Amino acid sequence: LQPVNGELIKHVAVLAGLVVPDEDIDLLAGAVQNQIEAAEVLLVLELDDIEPIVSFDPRWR
Amino acid sequence: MAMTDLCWLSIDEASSLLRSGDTSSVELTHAVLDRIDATDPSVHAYAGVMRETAIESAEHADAELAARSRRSALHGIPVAVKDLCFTAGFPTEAGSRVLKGFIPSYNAVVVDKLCQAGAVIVGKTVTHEFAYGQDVPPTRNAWDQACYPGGSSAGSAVAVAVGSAFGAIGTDTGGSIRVPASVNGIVGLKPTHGRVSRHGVFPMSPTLDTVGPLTRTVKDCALMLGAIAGPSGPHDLWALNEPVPSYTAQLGRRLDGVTIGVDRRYFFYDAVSGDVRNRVDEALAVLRSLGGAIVEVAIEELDLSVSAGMSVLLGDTSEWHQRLLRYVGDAYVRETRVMLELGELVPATAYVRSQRVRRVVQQALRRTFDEKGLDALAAPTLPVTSMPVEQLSVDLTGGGETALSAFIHHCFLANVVGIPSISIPVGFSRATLPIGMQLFGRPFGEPALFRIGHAYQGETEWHTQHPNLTAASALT
Repeated sequence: LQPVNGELIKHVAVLAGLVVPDEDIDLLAGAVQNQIEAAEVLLVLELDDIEPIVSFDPRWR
Repeated sequence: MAMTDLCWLSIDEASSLLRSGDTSSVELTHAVLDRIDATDPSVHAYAGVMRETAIESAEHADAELAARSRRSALHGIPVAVKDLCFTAGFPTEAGSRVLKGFIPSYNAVVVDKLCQAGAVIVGKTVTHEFAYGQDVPPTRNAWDQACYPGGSSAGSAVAVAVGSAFGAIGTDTGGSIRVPASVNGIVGLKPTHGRVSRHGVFPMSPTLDTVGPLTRTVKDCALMLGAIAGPSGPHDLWALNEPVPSYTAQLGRRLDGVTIGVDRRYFFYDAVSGDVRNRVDEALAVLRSLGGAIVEVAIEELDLSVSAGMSVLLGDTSEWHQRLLRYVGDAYVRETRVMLELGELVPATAYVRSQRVRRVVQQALRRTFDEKGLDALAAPTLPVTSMPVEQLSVDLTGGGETALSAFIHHCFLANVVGIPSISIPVGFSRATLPIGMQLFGRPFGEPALFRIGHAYQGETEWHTQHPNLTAASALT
């Protein structure tokens, strides 16, 4: 995977409709990198038979 | 009785004195307000004090009690509420410049329920900005004012610990009731998700957030939960409509027939300090001496709980703040803002996958509780005691372990799977900083946690020790 850097963060932020102040860029890049690595741990799991914990309830309440 | 002595009564004891006419709610309220004046310049537990309305409520409570119209054990008892909870006509700022001057037009359900129970609300307690835990508020630890007070319900825990409230309300999305309870030497309960209504409480995550009590004794915690549990009515979708039992009915001195699991691999890992390890093992020995069975368990899926929970926490919190971030982003503390920016960049696929993983962890935990016949799972509330504020790292944006990430490692499980967890004081470190043990229960298994915690407090005296604030003040 491409390492997350400031330029990438600015690009993705535009796609998310987000204006990130310059002072946040480096901290955010590190945080995104960390989050991607954490998510990779979950990617290897077999979850096809598992219902997400938030499921749609069509009842009128 | 001296005014300061009144402040150290438990809710249960104060309630008995009110019932017998040996004190009044006005007297208790004045004692607490005086205590706030004496302690808050040092510990900064309160964001705002409601002097006039508190005295009015106390006078009203005294009139009702005199007419033998007692509403509950909380009737006439002064309590505090975290400044994340709406209070009609009184500022609710969630520890943020973003909400400077915001005055709600209605009460949170939990505030209404306290009022209906006859409690006297004396003030709003300090929280980290929107409960995210990324800033360090002015609140200081009750036992050492150089030290971190925990978060995000820091003000609520410190107020209870220093005697400037008999009990307080906090919120817990990843440990925010249990962490400050542990480092300030008091009891804190994160209830089952949906046990207490979240309506009128600034949210982080609809599936992780909980509202719960902080007190000095387990029995007080049970009394407070009894007052605030359940929805406000059939249209309150912010709480589950489950029956509210008597939370004090099972309290006793023995634990015969009670089984408590311990997962040493996950909760006693290398970073757990020797003091914490020793105090929790001593507490387990006390539980065993009371008739409880302690069994070793191994739940590998616990390793997934933090990774799964963080994607959900990030996405949910950022969704709520989405417009504020764009319009008044510069009003947030920088570290909070970066977490909100981070949450905007979590892919939807990662979010949904995390929701599946939460189910995996939930099923594994249920399987272990059922196969081992567990009533609770015991663990250190935190791997370490509090630390000086200048040594504190609450950064969640990096890859390494910080104080906050270590706290989350121990606490997040209860939020990720929605189960109750109570932190009770089990002693002190060599540096005389409090240590807590937490007990995780089955969904709506709060009565079992209260039973275990109350029996423990019947055999020990940690909960009767109070910080010497005069000595602590000398540190500043």
